[in-house]
Amino acid sequence: MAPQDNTQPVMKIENVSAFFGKRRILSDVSLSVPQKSIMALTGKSGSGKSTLLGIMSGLLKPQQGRVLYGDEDIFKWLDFKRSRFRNSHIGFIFQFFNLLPDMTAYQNILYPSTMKIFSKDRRDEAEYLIQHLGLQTIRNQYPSTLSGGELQRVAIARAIINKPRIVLADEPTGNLDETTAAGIVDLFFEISEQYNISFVIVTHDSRIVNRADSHYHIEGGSLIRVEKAKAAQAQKTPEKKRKAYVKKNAATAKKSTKKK
Amino acid sequence: MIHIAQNIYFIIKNSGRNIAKALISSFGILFLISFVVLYLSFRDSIKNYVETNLFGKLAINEIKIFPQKTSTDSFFATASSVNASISPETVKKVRKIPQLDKTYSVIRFDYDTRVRGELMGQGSRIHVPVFGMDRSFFKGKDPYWKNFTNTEPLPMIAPRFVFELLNNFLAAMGMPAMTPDKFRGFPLRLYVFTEDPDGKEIRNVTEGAAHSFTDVVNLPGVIIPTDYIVRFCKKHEKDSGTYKKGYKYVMLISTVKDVKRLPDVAAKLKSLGLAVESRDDIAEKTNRVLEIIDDSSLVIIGILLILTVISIFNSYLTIVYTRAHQFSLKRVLGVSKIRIIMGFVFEAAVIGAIYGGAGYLVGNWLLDYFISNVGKWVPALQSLTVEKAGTGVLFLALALSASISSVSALIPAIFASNINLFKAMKK
Repeated sequence: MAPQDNTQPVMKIENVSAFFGKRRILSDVSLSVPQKSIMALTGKSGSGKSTLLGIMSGLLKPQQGRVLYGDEDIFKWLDFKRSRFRNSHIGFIFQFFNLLPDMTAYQNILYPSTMKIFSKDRRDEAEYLIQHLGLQTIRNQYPSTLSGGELQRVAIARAIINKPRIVLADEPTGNLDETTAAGIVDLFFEISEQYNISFVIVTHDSRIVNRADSHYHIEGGSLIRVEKAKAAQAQKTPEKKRKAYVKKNAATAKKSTKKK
Repeated sequence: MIHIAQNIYFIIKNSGRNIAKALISSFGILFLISFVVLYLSFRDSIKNYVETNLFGKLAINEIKIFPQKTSTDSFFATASSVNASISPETVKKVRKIPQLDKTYSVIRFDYDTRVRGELMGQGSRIHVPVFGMDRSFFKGKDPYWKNFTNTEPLPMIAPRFVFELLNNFLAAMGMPAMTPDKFRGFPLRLYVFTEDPDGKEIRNVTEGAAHSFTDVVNLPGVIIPTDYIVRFCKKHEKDSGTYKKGYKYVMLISTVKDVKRLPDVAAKLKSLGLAVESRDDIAEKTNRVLEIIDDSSLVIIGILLILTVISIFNSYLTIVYTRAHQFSLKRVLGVSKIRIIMGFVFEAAVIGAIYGGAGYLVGNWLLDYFISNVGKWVPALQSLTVEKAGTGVLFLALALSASISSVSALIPAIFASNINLFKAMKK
């Protein structure tokens, strides 16, 4: 199921289009997620960023196109297999953490590994992650007693407990203060390197965008790759100019795609 | 192993918490199942009671013959035969039918009759129809049939329910219940009122005694030997100055030589202007009574079922929306749709089964209460014997309640598995 060698992308999205009713959310989107990489995904609210994450995780079925994991189209699988794939190969991190309120931090971390009765024993991994992410003092506390940074670190540990190949993060620093957010961003890069995990991060956080291996922007349903230098410039440009720049950049990208 | 046990612990902990939350939604099942338990336990008892106490018993080759004007559609055809009669000529014709083996006539005094009895120092003289039957009819049906002759004191047979009433009276007086044999020889007095030529009432008194109680024929009065009635009437036929026969034929009970010929015999009797009732007819009447009981019970069960299903459906729908976030998170973390549905349905089935068991216990408790009190409430039902619901009914209750609950929760479960995940995650 998983990609065979290290050069192959973890996941490929080919010509995906998605609609909500008659409204087109994504239009002919293609994307490759390289191994051990961090990809930043930006765009306005309602531009389709979360929809793209939903499609990548197999939760939302696109009307057109396919999503390849290894060589297999995940939407050709039954829901049961797709769910198992999501459990074993995909991790999720949310802006609002989404921990189960009546489980302790430790139980929340372990929860994805208990979905199948005969799944692997991940207690050692859970212990290691608790040490690694500095969660020793809060391991037996319930989410209601934890700070934002602690909650997000628990959510990160939960996302990687099953050693997934990709972690999909939806605005992971959006609900955190500057200092905590900076710590979480560092953690993403560290985890990606150490655990060989690719991150696709929907974000408006310039720290992530600047440090990411690649940056994509969604506008008008299209996915545009933003070059690093241009992205940095765009970040420095005032808002109006930045929008005009992104628009121009999008038009150029479309032309180049057509030529290809 | 510890790991597996831990996983099971998580599942049970999760389900247990949800079950506690959802318990209130399925309360209706308790009423439904307790009613089903009561219904199933009563059904057979009522059938037996109706057969023996209301319609009497007939052997397979026995038929009852009534005057045509007695409505055979009535459940109480025999009782209504009191006011109709078969002419002596027709009786002779019936006796001549070759397919009939024996024919016993049931006659009734055509005079005003009363019977007086006394129990525990309290006596009463009541108007009661007095019927005459030959002792040979009771051969094999009454152990004392040989003594049922025209002697002094005059033997009197009462309907079975009178025995229940007497025992009920004794119970009310704080006395122990008696067997039918203990009532044998109990003194009674028969009053027959004739008239002289001036229209003045003549009271004829005969000392009698209780002979037995019967549910073989369900006549609405006491039965005395036919000889007594015939002789009495012969003696008093001209008391009023004009001839009066003094008795009339109200029913004939015949045995058919060949049961297969019963339809032919019935057709012949109908051509003589008579109505016929066989064991099949009694069974049919009993079934009609049971149909009424079944239909009304089904209506009640149906109403309870609809209310229960609506209640469970609504409650689970509410649970789905309050737990939307939890379901969405589970889906995101890798739980399949089918597992969400199965989990939900399983949870509903467990709750249903809990209530099914509780309903069974409540039903049995109500049954116990009913059995011990029915004699006090309705004396005539004292002979109603109700058996408690057994393990078969328990399993039925568990299966039924689990099925109702899980079917009611199925649609909310499908909703739960199709929740818009990202919308729920962002709340």
